[in-house]
Amino acid sequence: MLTYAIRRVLAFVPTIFITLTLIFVVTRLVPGSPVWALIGNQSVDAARMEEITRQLGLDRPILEQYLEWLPRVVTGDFGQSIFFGRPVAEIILERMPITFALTLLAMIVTIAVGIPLGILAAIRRGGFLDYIGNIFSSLGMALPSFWLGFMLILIFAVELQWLPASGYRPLEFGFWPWLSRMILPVIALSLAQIGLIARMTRSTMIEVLGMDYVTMARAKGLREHVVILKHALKNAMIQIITVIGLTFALGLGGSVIIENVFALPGLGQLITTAAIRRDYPTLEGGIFYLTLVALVTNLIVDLAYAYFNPRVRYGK
Amino acid sequence: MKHVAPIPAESQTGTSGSGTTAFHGAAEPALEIRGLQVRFPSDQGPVSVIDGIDLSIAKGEILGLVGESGCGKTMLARSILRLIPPPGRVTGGKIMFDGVDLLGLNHERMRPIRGDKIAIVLQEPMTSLNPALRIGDQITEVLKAHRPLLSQAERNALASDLLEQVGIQMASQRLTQYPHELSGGIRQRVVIAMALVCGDVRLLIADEPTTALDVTIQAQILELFTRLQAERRMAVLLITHDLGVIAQTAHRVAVMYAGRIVEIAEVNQLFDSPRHPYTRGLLLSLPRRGVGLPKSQLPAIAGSVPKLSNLPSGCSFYDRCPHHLEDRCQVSVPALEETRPGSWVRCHRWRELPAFELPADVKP
Repeated sequence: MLTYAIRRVLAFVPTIFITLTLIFVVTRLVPGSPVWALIGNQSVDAARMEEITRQLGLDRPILEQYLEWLPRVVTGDFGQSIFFGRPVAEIILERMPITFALTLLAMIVTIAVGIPLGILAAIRRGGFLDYIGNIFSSLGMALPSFWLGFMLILIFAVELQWLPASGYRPLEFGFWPWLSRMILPVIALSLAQIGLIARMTRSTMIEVLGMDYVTMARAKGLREHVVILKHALKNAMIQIITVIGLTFALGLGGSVIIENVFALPGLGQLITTAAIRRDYPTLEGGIFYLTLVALVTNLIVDLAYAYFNPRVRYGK
Repeated sequence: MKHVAPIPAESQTGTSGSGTTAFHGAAEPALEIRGLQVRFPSDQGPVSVIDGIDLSIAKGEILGLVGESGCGKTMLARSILRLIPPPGRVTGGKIMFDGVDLLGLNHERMRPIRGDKIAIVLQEPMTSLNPALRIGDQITEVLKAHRPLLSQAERNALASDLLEQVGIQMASQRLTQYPHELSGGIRQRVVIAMALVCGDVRLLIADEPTTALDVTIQAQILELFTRLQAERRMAVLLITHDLGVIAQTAHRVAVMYAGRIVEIAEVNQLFDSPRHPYTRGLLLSLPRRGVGLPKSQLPAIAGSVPKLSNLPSGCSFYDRCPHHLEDRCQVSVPALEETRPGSWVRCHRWRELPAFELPADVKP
């Protein structure tokens, strides 16, 4: 198990290199220049503009910029934000916990609701619960999350006034002020994922419940919940876990939209505004950290996969 | 280990309930099946997979059950443990075990019997072990379910003891292994150990326990079965399509065809003087020793198993039988008749059929 983990971590190195290169290339492919964003509405002459360009190092050949950029970035130093005038790492560190809490909470809700829903649907196939679950998951997957976000705001914040409509309070202001502003974004983000996980769990469980070892478990006189949760679910998890990893990555992408809908000052919002301002260092740093989170999640998924599936651990 | 939960005798109803036919019962039955009916719904209405089976297994007896694939052998085995896959359903009959009709028990009352009093070994050792769990866990959980007072250490000791009994070396190390680390033969031994770990098993159902194994391993596993059966005086229902396996191990044989029993006899009687044309066909299609016939001439029973949804109106073997008579065999289903003490056959014409001689080079 340990050697397996080490191998997985080593496989990270090329992935990160490729990710960084892609980030560099793509941000620079976007038309426009940070200089325009910086000067905004002021009228400046061409000489001043050239000066700013030189200051930012944008006048040098692109390959030279890349070769200077890559070794620096690998150490986590994305430089100064063009717009904020502060180190990118510092800004990201402020924003990261918000995005992380949002996606993690959404993930927990997704697993806690999606998997039991899928199991129940599989056990009572064709029953009432299966039917309801089916409608629920189809709806969840079909509705765009930003629309869902606005609807939730309309219902729970504007009409019922149960929860605040948007904004963010750090945990230092207390648990409830923090949580109350997270509930709606988390629901909006997790609903589509719940549908996905529930469906996956249902079909995998139906498949696994038909296996000989499940019949055998019943024939051994085990209680039904042991048969379902220990014998069937542990095998079904092998497939479900893959989808969970995928869902998490989707959630990270979704958080970019959700953070804007709910005015949460997270990484997603930072990336959107940095893209509009062509704030290259911030944009690169933001995307990189988001990618890093996705990669780490994938690693955790892989390790969990090995836990549920002993056959993987002994691979070459 | 002496603790044995007695089975409540409240639903004890005499065994002579449905006296449809004279009964080929065993003197002291461990299990007695009367008039069992299992049906599956289909587009053409319900299909009888098992159509009125009477069968009893004496204590300490190995009863072989033979028949082609799809004749209902496995469903019979599953219905004893009440594990018929939905939408199949038992629609009639009784399965008496220890004075109780198993078909009258709910799942909560069935659970203490499964794995403790009646155990099963399935055909495929590759799929009957859970790939995600250590084999030690899979064996000890049976004890956990039925002997909750034992400590985990005691359970492990019993498990490794049993692995040794089924001929697995370094048993205590094996407990921590996963199924994929074991060979097919070892896996089947593990499954047998799993079935017998409770030590109180009165009836072992073995559903094609050697079919998936190669021939040398097959012989070893059969030997193991006979040894354990003799040691524990268990009743064994040995399901197979291989008459060779029956000849080596069983005391009595029941031949099943299209959901019914067509012949029952002691094993020697059956091989010496089979009565039913189907049984004769099965014996003739056994591979022969010595100067082999070319492959194309391996004798086989003509035709194929009829669809259960579309059985002939009379004898279900009618279409494939070389001796059928239109006026009799097509009209009514023959009853199971006693041809001599202990031997029963379901054929209108058993008295008229020519004597049968098993060719000398057939080696069952």
